[in-house]
Amino acid sequence: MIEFIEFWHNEGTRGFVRIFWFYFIFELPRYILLDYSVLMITYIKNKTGWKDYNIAKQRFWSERPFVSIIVPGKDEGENYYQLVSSLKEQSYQNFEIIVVDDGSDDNTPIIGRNLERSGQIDLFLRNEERGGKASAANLALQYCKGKYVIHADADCSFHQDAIEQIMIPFYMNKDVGAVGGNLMVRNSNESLCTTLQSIEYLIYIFVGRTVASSLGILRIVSGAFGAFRKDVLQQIKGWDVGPGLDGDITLKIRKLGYKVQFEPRAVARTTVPSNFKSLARQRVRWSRSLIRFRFRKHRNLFSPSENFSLINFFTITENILYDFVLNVMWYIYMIDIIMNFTSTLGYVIIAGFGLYTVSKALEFIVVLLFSDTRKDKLKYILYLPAMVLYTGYFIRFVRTWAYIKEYFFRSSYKDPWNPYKTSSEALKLERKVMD
Amino acid sequence: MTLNCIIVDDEKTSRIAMSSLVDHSDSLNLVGIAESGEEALELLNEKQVDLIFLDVMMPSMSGFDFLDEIDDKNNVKVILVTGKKDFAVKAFDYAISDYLVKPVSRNRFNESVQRIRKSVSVQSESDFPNNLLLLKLIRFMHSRDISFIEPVPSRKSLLGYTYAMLTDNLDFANEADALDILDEAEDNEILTGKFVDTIYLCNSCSNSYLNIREVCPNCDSSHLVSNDLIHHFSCAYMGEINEFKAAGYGETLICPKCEKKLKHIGVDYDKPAAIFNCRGCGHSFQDPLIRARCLNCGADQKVEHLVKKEIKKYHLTAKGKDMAEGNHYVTISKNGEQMPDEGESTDYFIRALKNEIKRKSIAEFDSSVGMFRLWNISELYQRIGNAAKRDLQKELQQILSNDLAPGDEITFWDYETILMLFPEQRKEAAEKVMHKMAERIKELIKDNFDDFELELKMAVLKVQENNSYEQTINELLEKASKSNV
Repeated sequence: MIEFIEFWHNEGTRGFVRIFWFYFIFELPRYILLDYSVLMITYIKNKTGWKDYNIAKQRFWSERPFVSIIVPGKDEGENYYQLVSSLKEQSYQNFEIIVVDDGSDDNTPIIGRNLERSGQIDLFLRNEERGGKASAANLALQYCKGKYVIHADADCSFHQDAIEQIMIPFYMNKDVGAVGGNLMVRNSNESLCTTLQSIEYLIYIFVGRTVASSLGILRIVSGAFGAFRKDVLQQIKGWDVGPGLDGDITLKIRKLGYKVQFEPRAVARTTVPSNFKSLARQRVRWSRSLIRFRFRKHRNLFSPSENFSLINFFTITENILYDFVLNVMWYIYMIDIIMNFTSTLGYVIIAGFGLYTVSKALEFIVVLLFSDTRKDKLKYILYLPAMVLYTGYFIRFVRTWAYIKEYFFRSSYKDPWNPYKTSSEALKLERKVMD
Repeated sequence: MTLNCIIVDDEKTSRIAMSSLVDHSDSLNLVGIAESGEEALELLNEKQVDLIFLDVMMPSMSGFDFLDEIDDKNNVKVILVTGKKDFAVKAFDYAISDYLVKPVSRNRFNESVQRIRKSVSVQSESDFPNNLLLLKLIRFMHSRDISFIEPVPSRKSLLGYTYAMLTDNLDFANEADALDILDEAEDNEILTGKFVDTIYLCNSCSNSYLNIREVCPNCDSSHLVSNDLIHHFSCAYMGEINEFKAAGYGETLICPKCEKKLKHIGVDYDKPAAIFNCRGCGHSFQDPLIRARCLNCGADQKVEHLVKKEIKKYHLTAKGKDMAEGNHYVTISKNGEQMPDEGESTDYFIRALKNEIKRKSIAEFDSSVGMFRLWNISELYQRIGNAAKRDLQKELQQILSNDLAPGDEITFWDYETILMLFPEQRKEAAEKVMHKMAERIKELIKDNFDDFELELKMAVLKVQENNSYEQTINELLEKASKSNV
């Protein structure tokens, strides 16, 4: 203990910063300083913007646009009832529900047809052959009658005013082409794994996307709950082959010059994987899309062309820097620490753990400051040390593994998420784009 | 066919002698013994009686006084049983059926009963035209030595099949009665049937000539076109084949999204589904409704609501041959428009209720009477047609009977009203039972017709000695119409 204090006393502030340079150069500015400054800006904006919000709300209610809620998926039949029930409760009711069953091989078609016959969903479409999530969403898009389209996952349920809230940004700014909804974890008390994800969703989706949205660099509208202008979707002719089609379509919309926003007040709850193994599998799938879409498909964002825009360039750069480059950089940092502090590695690890816990606490304070209801979130404070291990190591390793697999083996084209036929055809098409 | 009979005699020995004769007869069923005319009148009120063995000389009310009292419309046969022959002439005036002198010999008794049976049979034949038709049919079969009758397909027939000697004798509109007659004949083992075909009939006019087609679930129009859906693998675009054709030339398919030419089904594109477009309202869907329009009465109905019947060919059984020779008689009722319990139980219910009111004035106990009104069921009846309406009522009566105690009574007062009598049950207890029944009714309706919400009303009353049965029922009707379950 005394040796520990002695060591750090000798190192001093300079030494501390030298040892944790990775944190001070990359993570502190991005995750703490930025969050706090945006928090302040948002706070001021909200003071003055409240009036704009209310005007937009009034305009929305006086127009009462027809909204199409599309729900593509495979083997999701058992979730339909809960989904429909929570939609029935919505404060805004001028919508249709279109459910696409993408070649399920369970009893989904029976459940869907029954709900359609009893009028609880407006249209149930079934593909006898599975075509992948993108094609299922595109099929639904063909039969949407709404001015706006909300893409939802079948395993989501919604806060009572979620539909109303996700629509309001369209009425605040006419350039808004898509709005992402806020996702929260439904089964957060199920296990340690789900509790940690709960905190993760609060920090990275709730706060992270609020910040990104304020800066104009939001790069994802979650497929679980996202709203789009139908004319914009029609312009880009819908979704392309996934995985990670949510991020892909968001970029396409931005390339057309539309704004993409995040609406924290529009809340959907989703069930997350309850053990680390299935969580790892889910994240590998998500992360691989970074390589595929940012590097391969949307290369032209980097090259000066007619579609080039600085903000889109910045969006992608930020994304690649923080999700990919830093992932690689971190290993270099690790080597630096291990090589130069071999004998005192224990002290560094303990202090690092402390530093990151404090940092997580600072991030979590932003969550609390942004939230309307804080009481139920206070209990998460106890889990913050575990969060350090969760985001610092678990998520990082999973991500690295995914990048390696995708970059070197292009494994997403072999993804069971997409039928082989669509992946191989998409691969051919993308190779052509790149050549 | 057995006749329900009662014995009316003041002398114990005669009663015993007569009841032993009745017991030995296959065609009689003893439903009561009365020691006086007054008792006999009560029995007549309570029971379904076909035949009375009536003593003439009784202390307070003579046999003739009794005959003066009973209603002509009761249509009951009377056999006078007396020690003296002197009343024969007077008996003739009363148009009684037979006259037995004590002591009665078994032969004379059987002869008399046989005669009564024949006269009742002849009467039933003419009472129920369906009986006559069946009789004609089996006599025809028996006399010509035809071992079976076969259904013959025919465009001109209501059912699409005709039965010789049976369909010919029915009006076009009533041809479906043939199936009821044959069913009942089979139930009574006069005929045995062998399956030939299944037919579906219009639920309001029983016609089999139907136009069955897919219609739009939104507007019921049958003006539909079906299109294949195409999924282009490489860009995930999905759309109707027309779009791909429009973007191409001739039969060439071009993807409207990525403008690539589709080459090879299963390799770069496939057709995972098809979709209907309604030309009437523009709605698109994959799951059309199937509806049948009756080409006779024009009713347009869901195929689930059509009446399903089996067409069989029929053999004459030994029992049937017996009947054709007149040795044996079976009555079949006309199913037609009658209530599921064929009205009899309503009369019976009224009698039971009257009795309960009378009993109440003598003894101290609580009885209750209850009512359900199926307030909006006529909408449903209209939708499902007559045959299904009868089935539904039968089923309702069946499930409700399960909740009743052995002494309780239930009847359909009319198509929308169910009456129940709970003898010696307090109002609260009856209410409890009825709430359970109400749930069952609602469940049954909900399970079978998920798009129909039944409005159910109910009322329970104590049976009161100073209320007539009409007053009681009127009070129930009024109380129920104000209630809500």
